[in-house]
Amino acid sequence: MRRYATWILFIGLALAVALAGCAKPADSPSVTGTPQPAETPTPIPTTAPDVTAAPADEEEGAVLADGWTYYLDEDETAVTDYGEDPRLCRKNESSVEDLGIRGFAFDVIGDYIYVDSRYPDLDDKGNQAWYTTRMSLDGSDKRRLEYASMSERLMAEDGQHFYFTTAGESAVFVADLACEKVTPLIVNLPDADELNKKLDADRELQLDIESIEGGRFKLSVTFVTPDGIQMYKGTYAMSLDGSAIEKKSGTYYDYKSLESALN
Amino acid sequence: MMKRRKIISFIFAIALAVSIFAGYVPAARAEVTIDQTGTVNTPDTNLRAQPSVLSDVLVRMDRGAAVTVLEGSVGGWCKVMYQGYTGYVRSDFIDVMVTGLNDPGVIVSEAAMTSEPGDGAAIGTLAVETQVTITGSYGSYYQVNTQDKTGFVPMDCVHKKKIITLNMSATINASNVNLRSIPSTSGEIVACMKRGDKVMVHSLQDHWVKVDYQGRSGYVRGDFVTYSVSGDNYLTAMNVGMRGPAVSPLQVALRKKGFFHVAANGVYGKATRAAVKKFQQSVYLDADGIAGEQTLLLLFGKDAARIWNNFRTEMEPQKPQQNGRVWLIDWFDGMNKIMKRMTPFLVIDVRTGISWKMQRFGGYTALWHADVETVTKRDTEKMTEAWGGELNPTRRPVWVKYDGKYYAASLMGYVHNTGPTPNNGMDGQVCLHFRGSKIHSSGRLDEAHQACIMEAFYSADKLEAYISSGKV
Repeated sequence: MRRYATWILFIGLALAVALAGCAKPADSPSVTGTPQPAETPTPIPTTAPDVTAAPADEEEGAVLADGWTYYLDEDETAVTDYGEDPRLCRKNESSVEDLGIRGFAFDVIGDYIYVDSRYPDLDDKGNQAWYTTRMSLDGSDKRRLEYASMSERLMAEDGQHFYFTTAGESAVFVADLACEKVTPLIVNLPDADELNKKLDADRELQLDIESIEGGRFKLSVTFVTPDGIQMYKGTYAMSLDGSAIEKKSGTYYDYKSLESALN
Repeated sequence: MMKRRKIISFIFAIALAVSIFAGYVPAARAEVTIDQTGTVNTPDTNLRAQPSVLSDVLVRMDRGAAVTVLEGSVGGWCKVMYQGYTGYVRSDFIDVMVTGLNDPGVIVSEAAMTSEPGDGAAIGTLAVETQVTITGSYGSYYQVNTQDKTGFVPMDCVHKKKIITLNMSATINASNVNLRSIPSTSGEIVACMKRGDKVMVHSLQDHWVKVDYQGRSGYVRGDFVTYSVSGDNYLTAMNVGMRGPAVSPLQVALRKKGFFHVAANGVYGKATRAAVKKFQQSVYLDADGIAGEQTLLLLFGKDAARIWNNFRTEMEPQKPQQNGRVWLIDWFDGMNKIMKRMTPFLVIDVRTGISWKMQRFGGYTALWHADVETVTKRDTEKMTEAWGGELNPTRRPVWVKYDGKYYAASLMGYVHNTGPTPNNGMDGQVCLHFRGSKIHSSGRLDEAHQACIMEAFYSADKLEAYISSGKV
């Protein structure tokens, strides 16, 4: 028994010494006689922001696929002097090919290229809409899609389909890689009644998929007046099958006083 | 390909963009006609019950199928009849001959001209820079007329000049600027204008604008005019780093113009900057990616200042945040307590690195935000330099260096009311804002200030650069 007590005492002393070694020294008090300014709040660092000034000379994103580099040719006179959409081209070590289409953006998805191109004319509201063309990787078999002013095409994790929205429609579309089997997921906002009460009926919807996180879409819903004044902006989370939707945040803006001030 | 036509009278309803948005005004033209018969150009084309991709499909049509066009393109959809079905199809999928156009264009890549769209006898090759008149269209081809030839060329070889209605006042910004009879340097000179002359700009057509000058109408190169903000408004420029409800309308407006294609998330980042540059290129402004006064005027019209009008009454308080050396701290219960009265601090202009000293002074109204003044005449001169030579109500993102720390803030250059310090070159005070601070008259947030504060917060790399170079 005494032997055990000795060991317990020894271990306790050892622990006490170890813990004393970890103790911080007391802060030194100020030795000056001058009053010190009040302490500012304890800082809480954040992660690095994702918004930084872009470099001066950005190039359009080139994409490597199937042994070719696909890119938009910005150096053509039609682009630099007349503001036309650049031509989509591809090159490898031995050749350069014009794929016979102008566009401002493109995606390579599976065995297809999706090219977004502006219409030559403004629409009947004086705005610029655009169309999307699907074609094969060599530029053949071009086919315009039914969906105008397509949003960014977001790939699903399984790599078997992608998601997008299209101007004015309250739905998220799920497309196979060929965009031939397309399923619309209707976005029924849970606060639709409130929106209808607080906002004028004459409004335009802009629905965007901000991201896909945790198996849900993060949707951004913006309503604007026909003149483009923001009326409401909200964020919603919707399940990937569209069966459930939840409002995360929403802000109404005083567009009516702005409009009356202008009038 | 060209079928016998039944010409029907069909007058396009020309919709002008109302008041504040630049709109589309087609050139004067003869009666525009649309052929009543169209041809489906894509296999498995949907004929829908309503003009929406969410509407039911009535029937699918094969490539080459003939349809009867009942109504021309509205919102991108045509109303057609096919095998007894009446419905809507995307205009892109129907090739139909349109004639009676009279739109100016220019060949931008060498174009093979043919007697039929994409087919028929070869007429010749049109060189780049050839001026043409677009008289019609069929599918992806324009019917063009040039000198003694008429034929079809691919649309992507032609730049069709867009005419954008502006109706804004402007000032001539150079000396000896010619007002011409047509939008070309070969046009007759109608008048010679000098710097500072006022004009009314009616429309923008590529590099040229159509203006009224002292009772005369003509064309002047677009880079010779500086557009004017209406009334007493001033426009705060928008730049990378800004966040807030004023950025979303910018993104929405750019999207309507076809330059912004990702989510309008209220963050002025790389995508927004790229979109602004593209827009600037399209209206022949200096493409720097900063949405300054001229950019905002051309995007929103003469009432562009409205995007900076007050939107919110409250902002959710948050704990202090840090990005590099820069702190983002709320005004209420934060900076209001940190900043002592009559204690000089350094103000650094984020965009130029110019710095000067200021101090906060007391008073009831100072609780909404900080009422501040410069300390010396030299400080006033430096601040004026940061404002481009003249103090005005535009807001600018700044860092406030106080007690060794840098704080994100926004300063307005409108000198008003009084200030306690004599002989400092500033006959009054200006307003310094922090996160969540408000303006006196309405008790609301000033969105221009809040956006500038975020730009200051996210520009920590610039502060590092200024410090490293010894500028600050």
